[in-house]
Amino acid sequence: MRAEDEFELLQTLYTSPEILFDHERHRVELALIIQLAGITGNRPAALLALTYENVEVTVLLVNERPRFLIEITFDHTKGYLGDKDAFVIHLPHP
Amino acid sequence: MLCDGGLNADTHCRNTFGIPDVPSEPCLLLCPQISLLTLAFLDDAFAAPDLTSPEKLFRLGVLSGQKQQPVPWKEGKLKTPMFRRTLQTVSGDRISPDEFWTTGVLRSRMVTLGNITGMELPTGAYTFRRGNGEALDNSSKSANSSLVSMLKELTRRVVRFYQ
Repeated sequence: MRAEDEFELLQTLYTSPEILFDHERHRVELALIIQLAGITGNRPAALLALTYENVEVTVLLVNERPRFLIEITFDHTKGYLGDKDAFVIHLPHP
Repeated sequence: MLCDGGLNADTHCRNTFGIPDVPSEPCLLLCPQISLLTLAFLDDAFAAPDLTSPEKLFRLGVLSGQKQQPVPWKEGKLKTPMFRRTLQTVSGDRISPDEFWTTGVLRSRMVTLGNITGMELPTGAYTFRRGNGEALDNSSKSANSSLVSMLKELTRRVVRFYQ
């Protein structure tokens, strides 16, 4: 799955009249899953387990203008290899 | 880059991904911040009572003398799933207050989306996991198809952002 493929999926998701949902919220939820899967490479189960508790939003003042940092912590990842090395990845947008 | 969240470094840093915004992002379609904040507004999840629209979010300030400030969630929303299934009620479909999507539902939706998009192979969330490294390495959207060059570019942007 390449970055171009992710773009095409999202473009179809938001523009195709053939993509229907019981509730329109699911369109945004599916977009977020695709975006997070592309950035993190996490298993689907780990993405679907996210709650607001796993998300931290911070407003940063950069040149006197607010910018946002969002940190997402996944705690439903495979642990059979033992504790994973502690690290944080800060990724800009693709 | 080490975690500096101020909490217990081991537990806070494990599996934590930061998503800063990029000032001149040409393609907002790929922006997870927009999707995530949209869901937060739909759920009325922000603790600040007057934080009810994006306009107000982007007028947020920071306390005098500080360079950053957390934007907390409502206490009652912390355990709420980001991705919730629908419930069929007598008055129509409603979003469940606390029930998660299942992986089966996600798989079904991804396959449908992939088919309509015209993907040659079945699409699923796992295809991102398997193709992630190769995708970065080979994407024609990168200035140089080398993974090392991509990582250097990402690092340069993050360092510049935090200076």
